[in-house]
Amino acid sequence: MLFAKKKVEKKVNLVGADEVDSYTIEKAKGWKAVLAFFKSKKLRKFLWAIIRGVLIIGLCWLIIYPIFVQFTTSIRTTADVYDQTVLFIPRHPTIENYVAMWNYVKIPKLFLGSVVSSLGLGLLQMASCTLVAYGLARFKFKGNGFVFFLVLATLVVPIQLIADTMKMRFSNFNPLTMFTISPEIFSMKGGNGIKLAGWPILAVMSATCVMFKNGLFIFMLRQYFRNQPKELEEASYIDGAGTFRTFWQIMLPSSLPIMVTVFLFAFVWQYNDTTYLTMMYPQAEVLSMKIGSAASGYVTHVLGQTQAPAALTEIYSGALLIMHITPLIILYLFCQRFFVESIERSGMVG
Amino acid sequence: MYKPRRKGLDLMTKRSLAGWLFVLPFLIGFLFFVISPMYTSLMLSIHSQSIVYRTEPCTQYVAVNPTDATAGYYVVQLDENGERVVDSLGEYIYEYELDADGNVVTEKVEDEFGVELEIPVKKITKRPEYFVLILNNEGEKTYDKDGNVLYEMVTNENGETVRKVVTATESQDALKYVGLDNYIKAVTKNLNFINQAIAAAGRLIYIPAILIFSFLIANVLNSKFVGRTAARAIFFMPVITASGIAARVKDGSWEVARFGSAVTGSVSGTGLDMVSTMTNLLREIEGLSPFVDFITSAFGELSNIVLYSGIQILIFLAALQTISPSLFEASDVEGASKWEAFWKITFPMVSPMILVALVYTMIDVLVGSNNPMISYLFTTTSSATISLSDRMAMGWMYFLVTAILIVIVSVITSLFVYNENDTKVRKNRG
Repeated sequence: MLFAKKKVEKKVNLVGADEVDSYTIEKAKGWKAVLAFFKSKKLRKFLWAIIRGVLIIGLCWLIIYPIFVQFTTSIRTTADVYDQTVLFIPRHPTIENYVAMWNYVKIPKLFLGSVVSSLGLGLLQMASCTLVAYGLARFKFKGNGFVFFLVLATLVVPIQLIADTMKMRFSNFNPLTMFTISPEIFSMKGGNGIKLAGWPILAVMSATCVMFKNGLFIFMLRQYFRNQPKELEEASYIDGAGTFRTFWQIMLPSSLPIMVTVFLFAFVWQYNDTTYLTMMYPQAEVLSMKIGSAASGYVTHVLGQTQAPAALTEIYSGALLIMHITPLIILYLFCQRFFVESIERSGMVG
Repeated sequence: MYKPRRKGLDLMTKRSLAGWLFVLPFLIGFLFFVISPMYTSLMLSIHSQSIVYRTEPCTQYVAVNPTDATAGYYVVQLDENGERVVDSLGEYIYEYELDADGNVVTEKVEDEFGVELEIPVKKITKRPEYFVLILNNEGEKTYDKDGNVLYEMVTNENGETVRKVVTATESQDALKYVGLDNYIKAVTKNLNFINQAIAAAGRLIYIPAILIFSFLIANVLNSKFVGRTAARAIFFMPVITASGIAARVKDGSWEVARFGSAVTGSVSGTGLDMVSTMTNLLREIEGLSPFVDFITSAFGELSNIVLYSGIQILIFLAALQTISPSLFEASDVEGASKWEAFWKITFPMVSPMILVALVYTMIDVLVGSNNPMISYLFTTTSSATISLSDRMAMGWMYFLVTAILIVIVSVITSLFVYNENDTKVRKNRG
């Protein structure tokens, strides 16, 4: 019994089921010991650990598998592509595909374009969403609830439904006719209005919280600001600070981690984005927009194949995709905490 | 008598004005980038869009004869009503143009990455009855079945190239109000639309599956074991690596697994990959094939579910971590089993977050770009073949159904949510 007690204290186990188990197993003799072992919690715990291990490892593999396959595809030579015995690891691994794509697509230039544009648009999205969320969380005004409802509603409207008409409206922008309908809106070029496209309009969209999942950002930030103590704000008002000074000097510094989280999400989704870019700036010199056409372009234009065979384009698009997501994975490794603790940080759970 | 020290607005008005000022960016964005395009698409959906006759400046003037379409010209066939149709091949028969010596005439062009190409000049020899020539996406020329130009581009007095109607066989007005005709047409005549609607409805099963899966995984990840941080990081990774263009990583991989056999043109399913050989072998056994099919499809779906549930796992994990351990200790002392503790403590405490996760999942599954309906309506292939009005009508129908579904389901669920903090919240936040 003494032996059992000691262990209880060490493991901080309230009931001490393990120890009772091991005690009964030790005490029992012959086949009774075997029976006691099968009935014991120790066995159950052991089995659960195995099941859990298999489950977790299996599911993790399921997630990593596509990236793994894409990688092994991208290091094949043409001979490996047509070799049926090659399933994963190629017989002649090569990095020539990467070199070819690097030179053909001019990766450094496109990558720079991607990073700079995502940084800019991500920061704008973070700033505008923070402002709106603060307004919703900290001010009582008539219609506050309704505005929040609209924020959530933007998440439900599929962007694809409004993409075509948005493009029409802004390639021939005239604020006076935004809410009228006439055959004129079909004219994608010229007309009475101004042609708005490219980075400026995307910047405006970022600054007005209508980019990818910005409603979610506002929701997270609003939840965070709601949980901040009221006393902090009141104290600052009593000390003579105005509304905006309180926001800038008191509330913002303490909310930096959640803002970084939102920025990282905005950055990553912007880096991967094709929907918004196709809508407003299809010629954008960024990586995500070029991946689609580059592989088949290389096979037909440089290698001179008349029709790009799917198997051959696969190795080049694989190389491109791996080059595209590698920076993301590195970023994720370093900033993993900001992503994984995002929900906890927002205090959504209370 | 009381005299206000400062002139101007009282504090409450000031505060509410400041509030409006803070949310102003969103309101502007909502008005111009959500309301306006939504209104436009709704209006388009109740109008019919025939051949669009219009005059407009065009950046490029290209003079062509009907038979002169070369590579880079996109040809779309029209039926008698001016609706766009595609022939079975989606393109038209052409010949290479020959010079006097009988050699193929070539022209030099650069592709988008600056590689110079020499491509033979093609000539379309067989012309469909009605068609539009879209010239490098810059302008178009429409012909009737006799080869007469219905309208073309001419230079106007300002030196701009504009489209001029040559013979107006249809109304100048491109938009004709047709009421709900587009909607009725989609439901009664468009078989593709019905099929995609069924496919989209099939996706509904993902919603409970994702919720249950992420809840279970959150419970597993909440217990302590070696490598927990790594496991958590990996489960969240799809949110980063499977969004936007990066989602192609997945599409590609499934192709790769199969293309061993596809490349060499051998009979499908005889690839040397072990899993497919095994499943094919098992399928041969009588009575076993439905089970094999079920298991293989379940695993296929599982990978989708795992990819979708990154954020939901985080939501549940955060919720599980806020439950005070003393509650479990107390229930243990009172003699509750683990099963009872789960249903009476864990489940109610987590239930508010189930609502959040449910709404998030529904939005993700129903209006995300992976949804079959969304990808049917809004890809480049369908935008070339289905008229905008029809697509908008179908899109609006789908949007209304999903929005109503999301509202109904979340309202019903919120009735069952246990809110422990209900009274406390009111007291504190007043």
